[in-house]
Amino acid sequence: MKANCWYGKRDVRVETVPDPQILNRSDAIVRVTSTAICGSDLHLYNGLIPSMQKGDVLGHEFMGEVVEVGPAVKNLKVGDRVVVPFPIACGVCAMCTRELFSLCENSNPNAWMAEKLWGHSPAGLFGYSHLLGGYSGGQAEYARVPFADVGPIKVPEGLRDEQVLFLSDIFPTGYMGAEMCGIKPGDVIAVWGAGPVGQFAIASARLLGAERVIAIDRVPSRLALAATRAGATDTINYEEVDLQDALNDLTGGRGPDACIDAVGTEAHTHGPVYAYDRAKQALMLESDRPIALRQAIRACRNGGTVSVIGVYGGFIDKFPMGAVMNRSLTIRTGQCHVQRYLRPLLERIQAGEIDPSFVITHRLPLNEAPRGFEMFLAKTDNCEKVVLQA
Amino acid sequence: METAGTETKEARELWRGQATDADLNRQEGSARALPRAIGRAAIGLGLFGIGLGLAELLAPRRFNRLIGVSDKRRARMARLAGALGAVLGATVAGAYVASRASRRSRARLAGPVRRAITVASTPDAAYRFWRDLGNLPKFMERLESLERLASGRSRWRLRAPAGLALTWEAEIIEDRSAEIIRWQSVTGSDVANRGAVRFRPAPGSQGTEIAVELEYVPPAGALGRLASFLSNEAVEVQLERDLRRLKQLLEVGEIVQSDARIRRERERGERR
Repeated sequence: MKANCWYGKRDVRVETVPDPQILNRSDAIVRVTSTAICGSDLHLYNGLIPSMQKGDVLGHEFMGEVVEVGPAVKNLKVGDRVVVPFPIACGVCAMCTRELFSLCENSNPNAWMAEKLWGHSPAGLFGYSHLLGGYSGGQAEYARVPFADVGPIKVPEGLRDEQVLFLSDIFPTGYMGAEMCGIKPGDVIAVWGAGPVGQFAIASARLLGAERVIAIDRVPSRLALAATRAGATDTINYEEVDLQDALNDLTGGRGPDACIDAVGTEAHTHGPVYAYDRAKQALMLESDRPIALRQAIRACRNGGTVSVIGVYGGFIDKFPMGAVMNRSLTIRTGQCHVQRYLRPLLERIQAGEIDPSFVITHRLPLNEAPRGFEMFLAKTDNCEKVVLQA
Repeated sequence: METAGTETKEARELWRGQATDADLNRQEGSARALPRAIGRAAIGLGLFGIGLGLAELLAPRRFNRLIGVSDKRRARMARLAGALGAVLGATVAGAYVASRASRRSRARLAGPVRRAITVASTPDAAYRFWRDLGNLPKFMERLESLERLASGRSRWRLRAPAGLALTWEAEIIEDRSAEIIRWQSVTGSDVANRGAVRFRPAPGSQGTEIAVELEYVPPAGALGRLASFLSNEAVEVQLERDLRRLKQLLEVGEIVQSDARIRRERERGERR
């Protein structure tokens, strides 16, 4: 089959690789019909995530048709059309029974590697390094899906791929980011990053009843999308105005009730702070550039919540712990526990409350995945979200 | 080579209970001295560099007088050197701290290897699974076979690198249902070893805590040269992997496989 494989920094190639096989009794094989490039795939593309190996199949946002099931699979049959969540979860361990699916204790066969880096291991993920299991991803014609009874959700008739594909990651991720804010009527939420996850965080904050949602980015087309489609009430281009001043102006000096970091490890800003973080990253003194996170902490109102859904990999520098402690801030974070959100978010899509396809700007055949990565990274042609069709 | 020999001898003495506390301290001391010295040097250099840089920034004139530079150009050179020193010092100290932050305490490098895992199972069920020794090769990756002998002992065969194998016979020396199994190897083993696995209920009905403790003496001679896979670090990783697989067997009913396995096998096949 054809698959998009990682070969190194800024080097992905569509190659012919062996078809996936049923390896466990509860596996299913899915013929991928639609898959997408995620912002977190760019962290792999930029070589920031350790333990990638040449030839690894990328992709953790995918859906398709079940073509084979293992002997223990009960909920799925050949022919079912499913969306697959990006965290792999067994459904029976202590974390899964608490619905903390992205922390499944059984799905990462390389847990020891993650333990060395992070102390304890989270769940295995599709196509996201050997540290997180070494599972092949879904930017391919076929994908093996472990624990097929637990993860995949069947798609009801009448919904197009593009309407449900993002249930695999970015819609639930944005939604969880908003949910972690504990939104109450009258709340003002600021969202750093108007990429695809940021768009869904904005839309979800509105769905959850936020009074105002402020989108922060530097790309005009992304801010426009946030205002016209996601439902942001205000936008701030941080390259044009002083961000902290603008946030204080918009909130009567209080600061936003909650701040969502939908940027993560590869944040941008201007001036010496950016140079400082780039330099420290280059010298391997910090692995992540926490610029958006620092700003979010500084801006958040006293006693507010900072919700972190942007991906971080290792260590950060100049973390403003004094602001967090003295101003009673709450930090909530985590890889999305997608399985928890599939059903309720599918219902919202069916009810017409949201059409997640609004973020798509580019559709390419799987063959052109490398070009998709280039465009998404450079944001050429106002690239917001690339969907690949196998 | 001589050092390695001495260490093995000391470890053997330790094994037989002949080593004194002083021996133990000496052994640990030598193992710790070098990293500690490097650490002190790095931090010292870092602080010195930062101090130098700060002095240059805050009071350049007085600092230059202090270090005996008066000429303007030389002063500029010195300032540059100081600033570079600050950056270099902070870099070295930073790199050192970053590398230390994720490492375990040094105390863990001596003594037996310990790992524990919590499993959704009763202590009794977990104990019975382990006590049925035929189950061990199912989750112990390197354990090629385990044969139960008529004597009540068991014969273990461990895969070693380069197609070699290590074998030993072990006897159970303590066995309390749903609580503990303790074993030790008998004389004439390739790897003298002893260990225990304990089962106890986790608080808040979270299942059972399974805690393993292992001590061993790596083999001497030709086998010993292959013994890097028997370093404490490697054994600890192996034990962690094995306990994770045990958890998968008890909770999911099978070992969870990654696609990476297929690729490894394919690549191995291609090399052949």
